Amino acid sequence: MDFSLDDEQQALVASFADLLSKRSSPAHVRQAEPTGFEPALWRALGEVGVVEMAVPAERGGWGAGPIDLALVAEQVGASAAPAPVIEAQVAARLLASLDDPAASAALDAMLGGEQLETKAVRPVVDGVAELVPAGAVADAAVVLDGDRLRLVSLAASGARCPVANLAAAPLADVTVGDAAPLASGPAALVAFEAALDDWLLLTGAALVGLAGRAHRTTCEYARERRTWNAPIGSYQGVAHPLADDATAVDGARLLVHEAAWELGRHGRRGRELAAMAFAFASETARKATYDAVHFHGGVGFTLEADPQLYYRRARGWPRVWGAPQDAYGRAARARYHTSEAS
Amino acid sequence: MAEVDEARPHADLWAEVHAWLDESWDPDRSVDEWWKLVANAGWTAPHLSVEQGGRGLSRRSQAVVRAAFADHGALRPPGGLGLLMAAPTILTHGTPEQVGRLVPPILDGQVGWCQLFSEPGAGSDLAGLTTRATRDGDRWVITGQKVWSSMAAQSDYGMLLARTDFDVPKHKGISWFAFRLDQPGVTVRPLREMTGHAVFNEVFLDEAVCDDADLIGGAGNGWAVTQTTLHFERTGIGAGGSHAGFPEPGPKGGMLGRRAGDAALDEAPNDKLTLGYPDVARLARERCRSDDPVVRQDLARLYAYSQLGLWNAQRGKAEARRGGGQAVASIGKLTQTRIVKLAAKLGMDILGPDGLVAGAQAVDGGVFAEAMVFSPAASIYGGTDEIQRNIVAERSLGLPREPTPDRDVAFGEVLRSRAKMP
Amino acid sequence: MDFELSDDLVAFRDEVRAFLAEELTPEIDDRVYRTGVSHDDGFVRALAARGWVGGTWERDDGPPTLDALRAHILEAELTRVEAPIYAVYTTQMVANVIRVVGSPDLRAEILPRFHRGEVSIALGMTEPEAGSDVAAIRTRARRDRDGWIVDGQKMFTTNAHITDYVFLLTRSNPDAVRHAGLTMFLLPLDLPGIEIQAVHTLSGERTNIVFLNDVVVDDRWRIGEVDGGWQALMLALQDEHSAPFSPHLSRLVEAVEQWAHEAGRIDEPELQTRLARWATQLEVATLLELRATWMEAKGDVPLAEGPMSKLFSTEALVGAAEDLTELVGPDALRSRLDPTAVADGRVEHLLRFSLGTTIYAGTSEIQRNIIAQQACGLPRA
Repeated sequence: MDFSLDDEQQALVASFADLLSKRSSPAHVRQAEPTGFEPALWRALGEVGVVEMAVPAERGGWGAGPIDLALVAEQVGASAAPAPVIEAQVAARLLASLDDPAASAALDAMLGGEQLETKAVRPVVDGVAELVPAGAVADAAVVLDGDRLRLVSLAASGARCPVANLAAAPLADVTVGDAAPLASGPAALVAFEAALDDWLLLTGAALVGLAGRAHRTTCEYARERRTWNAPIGSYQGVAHPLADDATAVDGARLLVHEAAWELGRHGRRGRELAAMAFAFASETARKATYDAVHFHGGVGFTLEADPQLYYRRARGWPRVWGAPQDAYGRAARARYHTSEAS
Repeated sequence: MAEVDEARPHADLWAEVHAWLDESWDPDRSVDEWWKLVANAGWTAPHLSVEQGGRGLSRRSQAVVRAAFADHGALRPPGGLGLLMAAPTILTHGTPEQVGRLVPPILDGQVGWCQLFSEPGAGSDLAGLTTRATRDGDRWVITGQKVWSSMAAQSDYGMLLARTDFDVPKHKGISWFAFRLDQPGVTVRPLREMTGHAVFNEVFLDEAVCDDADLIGGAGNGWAVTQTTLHFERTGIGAGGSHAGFPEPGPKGGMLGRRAGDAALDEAPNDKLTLGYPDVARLARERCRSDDPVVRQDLARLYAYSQLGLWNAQRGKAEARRGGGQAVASIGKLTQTRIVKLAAKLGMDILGPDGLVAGAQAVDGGVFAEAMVFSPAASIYGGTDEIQRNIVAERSLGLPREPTPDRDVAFGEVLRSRAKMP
Repeated sequence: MDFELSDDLVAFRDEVRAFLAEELTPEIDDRVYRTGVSHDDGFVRALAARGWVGGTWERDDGPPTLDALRAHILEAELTRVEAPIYAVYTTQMVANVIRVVGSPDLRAEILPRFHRGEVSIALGMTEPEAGSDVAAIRTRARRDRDGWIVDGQKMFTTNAHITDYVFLLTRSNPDAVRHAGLTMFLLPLDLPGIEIQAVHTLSGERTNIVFLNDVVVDDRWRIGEVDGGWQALMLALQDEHSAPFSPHLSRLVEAVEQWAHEAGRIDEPELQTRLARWATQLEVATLLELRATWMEAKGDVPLAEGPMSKLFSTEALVGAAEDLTELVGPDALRSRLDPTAVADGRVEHLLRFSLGTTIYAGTSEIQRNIIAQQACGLPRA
């Protein structure tokens, strides 16, 4: 029983926190809107191995486990970084898990820094993968079309249609065409679901980071801002919701870590815990970012202030896949051994 | 159902308005000519007495008259914050000279008003404001900063609260001014909100001036006058009053020189920042989610809140007629924020990922995404949820106020002790 | 990072479960439910015989029998099955204070008997006019020759009708303000002038009011310094925040999951989803609790983490009881005492029981105040 980070993990967190505090400040985040992609930041993250770390050693990466990836994802979320870290890592792990030459070639291109791949989180419908995370800036996307995993090149014109959105994220609708399958049948579905577990876990971790940052900013404000000659944080109407948020953020973080630990050891509750972590982190981030806007008063509602950056993303990031309810459903199916409908 | 019952007693009024319009409506008049005619006949605020510029009718009559104008195809009487708040305030607290000078231009749409209350350091604690007004002969010199002033850039006058006495406790040293904005000492800067729009403004006052004749209700009596203004603001918003500003009065409102017949075709601006049950129910049908049991539960909840809001508003009006109703108005505002937030959330749940999409490509032009982004504002403007709950707790439940140590201390002393803090 | 119990801890947990299967008979369980009294002499002695009463302390006759993690596992398992341990729990809180600030005389009198399960002590801090604001208590202790005369009233003194003593907080100096001027006593309940009245609660638990009328108390029963009662109280209260509440939630979720399986409804999507929501809350509650325990085991003080755990698990328990009652439907209302009860009547019981948990051991509001100060750095009101 141990909830602490070891020295290596602490160093990992510190180095990403440092990089992101310098290159992904709220000003940077604003600057990158509405596309939500800052190429210089992405290059800098690439240089410190943000894609390599996610790939198993036998496929040319560093073989970092889900816990390490979750720790990084939390920092990425805390700074609302305009860089498709999670999408790239999930795509890379998916490609690495497939036994297919095209997948290997795509993975090599990612590791070489030449290509950015991403993955659609929902299956293709009528030839279109909708709202693919990072679809607006990636070179290719792995999509699930029926029972086939396809690699869709986004270079051709008309392949993608970027979508303006609430979270200022680089989303795009992707037309699939007939790109050759990387895998088909049950193997494809298994690989897709495993990649989805990764995405749910890491997005949950990012939401914990986002919620934690919004909460911390609000506590600072509540100490400084005064009304009726007292700091607003001294009023229970303000302090108590912030206490609830602190508790929920800590709880969400613990749950993300437990899910990451379980996935890392291929435990039988991995899918269930990853879905639970995503659901709980989504709800926690929703409330914490609302409280951040609300307790900053009118100022919190302006574009000039930071809380709105977190509020919009807390709602945008998870919803490309679904609502907390959908994740609870997924957790339930895993917990009660009901088969996963595709 | 309730609306139909209420409309029946107004059948006579409806007919009377139509008869008057048959005789008087002329689409070729200019808007300002038309509005002068309308105001002269007492149609702008028919619930006021004849001496005050109305027709001595019921409170409900204003809405009935406007509906009749629209039904006839005639340009409605002017709207605006002056009509909603400034005119009733001046009628309650002003001298006959002030009423005679300031109210008619509101009623005939010649002048636009905004509110200059909140400051960066004084939001919920409005009485803590620090904009300073210093007496200089028969006028006041005013310096300070105001924020969250909607329509300030389109206004001629502002309802300005400033501190005229720093040596008394904070509530006792405030005065309410009918303040002219067009002067060198005034700068208006728009604020950009989370929705991307810029409805609100900051207003900087740097040795701006105001005649003593425009101080309403007496020097140092501003807090009492403000309660009147806030009462009319709350009963306007809490009763679900949509877009109080339409049509825009005053030379900067863009209406006055136009042909009245053209202006009559303008639609009320899309008030889709706050969605309600009908919008979400329609969306559920269009997206084939009406059979989803969870959606139905939430829709039912939304419907229930909407009904409660309507009934609460009626109850509030009844109590207001008897001189009370403040707690009920607060309940109304809280219900409204609940509706706004639930509607936005439910809209997003129904749309799923499509709800993230903004702009022209989006479903319904992105109204639901925008409503999501706007919804936190409902709990902040017009008195935060926390302030509303305080009011309900104190006025309706009779619970004691929280202690406020600075209540009886001279405000200047409060500022000095604050400056000493680390 | 590691979320697993080591093999030896799992073995210990199994040992506790085996103990409970043997010692916590249906007869005891039923009596506790019907009387609302969480105490059984025989059960306590059996616990003590295993070294499981005050097991983490050094004793005169040997080293500790339990480490912090085992103590937590033991307490969680006892809580889960609602074993009759409330009196043991309060006795341990007080014995701990006596251990630290009690006179040698008191220590000798109480501690060995405590470890043998032969003494019981109820808590007497709360009064009708003073609950969360415990420094506002008014029960008076006036010096009188070699001792004291005590007058006043205590509320929610659970088990005082059967315990040997009550841990009594008094005001010894009426001129001192608030925390100053308080003195703690271990009051023998067989002294003249003490009257106890039963108070029955929504959950079926029975508690008491204690009336104290000119009770003559020898000074040997004082715990700690004169006017040093606040320090004694603080020692007692630091234990309060770490009592586990997630086992109640665990039992509830399990009971409803079992019901769903037996009713053939576990595959219904809406039902599943709703259950998974509470299973998630349970997971979070368990983790928050484990974190606080782990911190204590390392020697850290979980100032914010203890309150976070108590707040979250009790509020989750209230919400779960409400929602799962609706989920199970009308059958959930059937009382445990009725032969047609579903899931042992647990759902109905927890619907009532859960409400006390957000009030005692520090209300949710008090927990939020502490969290706001310790975790959010917010100033006191």
